[in-house]
Amino acid sequence: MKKVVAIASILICVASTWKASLWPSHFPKPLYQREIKEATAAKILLGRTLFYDPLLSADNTISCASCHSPYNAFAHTDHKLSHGIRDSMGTRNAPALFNLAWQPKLTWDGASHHLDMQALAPITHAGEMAESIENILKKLASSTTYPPLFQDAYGKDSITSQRILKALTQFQLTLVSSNAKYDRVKLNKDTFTSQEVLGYKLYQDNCRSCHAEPLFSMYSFKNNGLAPDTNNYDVGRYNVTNDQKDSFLFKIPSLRNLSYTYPYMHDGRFRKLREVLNHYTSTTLSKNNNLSDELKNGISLTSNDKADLIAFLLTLDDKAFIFNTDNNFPRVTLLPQE
Amino acid sequence: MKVFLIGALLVCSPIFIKAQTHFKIDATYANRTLVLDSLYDNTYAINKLRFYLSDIVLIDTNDRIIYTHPKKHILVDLKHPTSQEVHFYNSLSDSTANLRLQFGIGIDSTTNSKGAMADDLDPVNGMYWTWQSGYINVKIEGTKQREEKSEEFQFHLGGFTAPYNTYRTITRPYGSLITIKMDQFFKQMTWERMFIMRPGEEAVDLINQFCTSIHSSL
Repeated sequence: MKKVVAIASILICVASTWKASLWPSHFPKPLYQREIKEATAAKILLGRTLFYDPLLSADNTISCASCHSPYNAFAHTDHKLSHGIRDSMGTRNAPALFNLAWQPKLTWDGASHHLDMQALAPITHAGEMAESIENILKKLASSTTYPPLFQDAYGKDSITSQRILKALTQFQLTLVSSNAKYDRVKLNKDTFTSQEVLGYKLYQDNCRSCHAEPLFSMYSFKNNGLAPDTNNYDVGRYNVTNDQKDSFLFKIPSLRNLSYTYPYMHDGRFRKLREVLNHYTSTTLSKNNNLSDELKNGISLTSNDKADLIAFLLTLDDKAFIFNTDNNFPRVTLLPQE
Repeated sequence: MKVFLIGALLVCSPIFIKAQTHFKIDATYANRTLVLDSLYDNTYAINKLRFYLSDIVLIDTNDRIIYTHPKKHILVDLKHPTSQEVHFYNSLSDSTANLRLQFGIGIDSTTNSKGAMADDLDPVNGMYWTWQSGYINVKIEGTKQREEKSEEFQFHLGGFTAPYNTYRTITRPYGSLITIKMDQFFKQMTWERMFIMRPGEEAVDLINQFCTSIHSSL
């Protein structure tokens, strides 16, 4: 009985994530309207449990959260490239997961068109979770945790691959980062310091054409002038489209939560924000023939400008999101005995 | 009296009783039903042949759609002969000669852009790419003998965005047997690549070859 009450109260908390307001008032209308409409606390809790459960990997050691940690805005901090099952090294820096409902395409190269189907990539990849959906279905059906969770979320006999994927989407759509200092300033609940004001102006003059407010990304694909990485020679979006124009294009990441998501870029080559700014102000960018138009005229920032710009960028850190207990490890379902 | 009743039933049947009819989609080699894992012309063997049929409709001589199959997408797998039989009801037994059968090969871009789906579209069927979004419209796997050696080939044909969209709509005279002449398909092959597993020009070429190898037998 106690357990039932505990689960019920958690359900009510989780439900508030979407229900309180469907999306932040200063954000545009998100994609995934149907999924948002269909959201229930039970589906979100199921998705959250799956997200944190290493059962999704072949040897039950790697969960989605292994590379997408809540305390790193669901990125993999301190790893240039993310590693998966049996210490295999990946080829890319795991992207932070937040504000996914505003992203028309997923992953660094946009290979995935829908959150449901995106999960299949890491689950089945030999170097990530190396598991099959068929086997996950067997593991879930024979567990004691999942049949009641699926029952609550989708009704009887409902452990299907479709629902596994849909539940993961339901949880991931609740990962909304909209409570940084920047957001409070926009809602007239806080004010920028004078240095942050200077930095905001520099951001508007130099960064916003690709990292537009309030999401701080257009979520389109650009070549930002990085030299090809020497380890993997990752051609980015070209992998997906086979179009020369897309060589070395990667998805523009959001500037939110930068303090939690280092290192930066698809291959994690920069550890510090200053290194990123030094890249954008360097003169070697122009040699690259696929360079995005926005960077063709170069960006020039003094050392003081860089300090001011970084001060502004740090106002995009969303502590409330990082420590939101609705998003982290679901003790109630995965460690119910404690 | 009895005769009269039967006669009345026969007269009325096209209107009141819908007859079940069906067509079969079959792969052939040299005009005979293709058997999986069999060697043909001492050269080719097919181990796996799966594809999607979508939006099956019957069209009459006035270009009107007179029948739409209730199932939007059907996964045909030569390993499961029942999947090759497409059943539907019609009440037009006397006029099927002039009907046309229209169907898609593969999964259209709208369906591809939706989220996870069940049944024939369930990713467990092995017809969904995991490393990128998109259904595999046609999967052909097998072996080819080359200089005494048996070499594997795998063609996973898909892609739903321009310019490499591989969804095709084809129209044939309605017949109870639709055949995919795999010998004709192989004759068009250049065999430059034994593995084609991603959207691109090669997949577009192969899907076109596959579609031109589909015929209707009345």
